[in-house]
Amino acid sequence: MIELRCFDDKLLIVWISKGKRVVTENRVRIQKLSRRLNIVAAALLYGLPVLTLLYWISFNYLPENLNVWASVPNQPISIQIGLQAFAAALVPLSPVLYGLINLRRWLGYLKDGTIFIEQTAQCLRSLGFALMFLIITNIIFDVLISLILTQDNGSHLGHYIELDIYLSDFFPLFLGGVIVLISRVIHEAVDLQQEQSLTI
Amino acid sequence: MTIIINLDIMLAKRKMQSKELASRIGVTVQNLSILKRGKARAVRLETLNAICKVLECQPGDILEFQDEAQD
Repeated sequence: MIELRCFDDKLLIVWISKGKRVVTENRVRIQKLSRRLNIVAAALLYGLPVLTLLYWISFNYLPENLNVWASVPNQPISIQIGLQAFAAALVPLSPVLYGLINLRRWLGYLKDGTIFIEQTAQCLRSLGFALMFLIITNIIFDVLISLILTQDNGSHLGHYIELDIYLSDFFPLFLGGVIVLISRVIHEAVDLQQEQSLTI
Repeated sequence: MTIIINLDIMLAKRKMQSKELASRIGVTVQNLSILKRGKARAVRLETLNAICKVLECQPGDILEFQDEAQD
């Protein structure tokens, strides 16, 4: 039996099989939300490298509250140092971009209505590991950026390394671990679905 | 797999086509084909009941156990 329902100005077909309603509204919601999130993820994917480059190129003209680097002396940085700093910023940016690529791939599958397939578990696993890897790249970046920004600071200190680790730095590690766990749950769901499809 | 599905034999005995059986027991032809080829992981008692009812046979006429070790 087929039931026609109106959902968000769209006509929705709801199958009623052996008295059980096959709920498709939730799937429509997933598709809709994943489409929107995919746009945000795309904007971040293409926007983040550009914004980072703009940040370091226009570093001298930024308001003081945007200069979060304690190691930066109160003097303008040259364009060469700005570019070096951008190159250093690519280190933590790489896992972020890799994570965003995988997030977009996962959202793409959701958008197409395929939720429990091996590829979605793989995408989530990669996203989780990218987030977990972020803590290492952040440490590397802290070291690099302090070295780059203090190379011509004119002070008697010369080069110095600054390394700040805050509790919040461990949040991506925790979040990544949770996402990896969810990917394993999805992997189990894929196995269950395969078994379900082969149960006649 | 050591459980053999003799659905083909029963269909031939009853001179019935897979398509007709599929429609009468309420499964798709593709799913019935999976069952016939022995690719199914599990068979619902509900499905087995429907097959036995339509083909007028016993579950033992459709399912057969063969010990692989003895073969």
